[in-house]
Amino acid sequence: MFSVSFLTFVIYAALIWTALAFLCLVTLLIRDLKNKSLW
Amino acid sequence: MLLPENHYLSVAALSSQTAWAVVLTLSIVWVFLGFYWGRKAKDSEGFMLAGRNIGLAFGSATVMATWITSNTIMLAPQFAYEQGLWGVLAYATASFGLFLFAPMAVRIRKLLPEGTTAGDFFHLKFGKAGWVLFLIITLVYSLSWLVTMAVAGGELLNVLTGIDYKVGMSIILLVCVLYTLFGGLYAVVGTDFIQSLIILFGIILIGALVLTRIDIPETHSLLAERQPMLMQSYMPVALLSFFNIMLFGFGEVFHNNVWWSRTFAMREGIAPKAFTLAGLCWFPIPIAAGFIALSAGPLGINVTNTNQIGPAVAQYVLADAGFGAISGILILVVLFCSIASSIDSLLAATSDLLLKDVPQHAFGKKLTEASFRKAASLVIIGTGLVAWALALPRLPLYQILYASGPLVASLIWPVIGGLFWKRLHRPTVLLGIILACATGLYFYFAIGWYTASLVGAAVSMLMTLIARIIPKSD
Repeated sequence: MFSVSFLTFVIYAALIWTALAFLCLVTLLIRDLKNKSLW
Repeated sequence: MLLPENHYLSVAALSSQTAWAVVLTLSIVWVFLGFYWGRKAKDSEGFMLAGRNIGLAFGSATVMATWITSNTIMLAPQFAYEQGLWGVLAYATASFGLFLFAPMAVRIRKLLPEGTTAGDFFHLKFGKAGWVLFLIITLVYSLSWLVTMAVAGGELLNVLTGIDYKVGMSIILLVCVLYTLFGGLYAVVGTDFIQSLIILFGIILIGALVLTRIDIPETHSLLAERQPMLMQSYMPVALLSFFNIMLFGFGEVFHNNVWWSRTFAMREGIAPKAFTLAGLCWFPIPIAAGFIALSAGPLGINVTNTNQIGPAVAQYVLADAGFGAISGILILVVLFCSIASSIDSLLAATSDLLLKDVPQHAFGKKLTEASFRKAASLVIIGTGLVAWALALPRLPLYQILYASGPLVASLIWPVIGGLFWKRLHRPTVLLGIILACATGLYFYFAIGWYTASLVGAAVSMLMTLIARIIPKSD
């Protein structure tokens, strides 16, 4: 059976990872806007 | 990622005025942006491929947003509720197709520097017969995906807002057709970026709020006591579905023009990074969106229909946190974005195939620049109309979509072989695709969905490897 620790790790990791994905896209947008390389 | 769409929600609806205000505001914003950004498309290449100059921010976001469908938001919680942790982990493997497409994007750009569609590749490598096979498979898959998105949109609007199914479905399709029509890939990519941020924000907010209201050890012990199978680490069927979903994902991404057109549309060197990043950004989403369903029991939420579990838990938690009516609006906006971000991509990619491939590969002709925009308008509107006509009676096209797993899986190895191997015996590859489709479909009906893509991919792989050995016929 999956342990409590594993379940906790998966849930927190997924949420933190999703938040990092959000920040990553925003950062890339700012970078591409500055460099005028959006499209 | 896509899997059957048959959602029937019973979460509390917004008031009629609020619902219409939200839907109309979103619709006007997307259509306006389509019109505004569409001015950048000066010619056919601008319209179809956004000038082949998309950067990393927009490139990553459009790939990620297109792969997030209402399935990802709605089905992931259902998977968690019915199949436990393995269910959402299996779903997350759909991101692997994006990772693995990254090196292929490099090769695609090398092989077809002026390429426009996936059909160009199939025609180049496997001749007209191969192109026809590809076109049949991809149109079956793409159209069923498009229609199931439209149906899902209509049903979601109906349950969340009370708007009649036919009206809601028509609005969503009309909005996507309009901004794709006005703006081409510029509009699709630009709106995808905004939609991706909204979707990610919504998932983070809802997931974080759920975490503040549940105790994970208590949730685990409740599940272990009442539904121990959901926490089982060894489940043969779960393992089968894990790899089946992964291969289904490979087939979907490797063959479909939605991804090939993005590869051609990105600036030199961007595509491999964008697909890798998109895969990384997409991977946690089914888990982050899905785990909230595991909290239904501990939170005492009465689940009458597992199709509704995601929005039901989300709305409960948001309302409990004091968000009130905003909870319904947030869920509506997130779901609207996830559906629109896929419909627009499908409309654009499918119309590109019909606009470019059919005249060129079937009739040996090319559209002139002068006739292109008119033809594009007719094709996009026509595709939208066909999807609308099929969605209106709520045909269960999700069954066709599901059954297309072995069909798209049959193209995995021909794509890999065609990209990386100079020598392939063409008739053997084509026979392999047909055999893979047939055996995959047999296993789908005889044994179960969780075997079909595995079998289709295996048969196709065997035949492609044989084709590698047999001397090439000219």
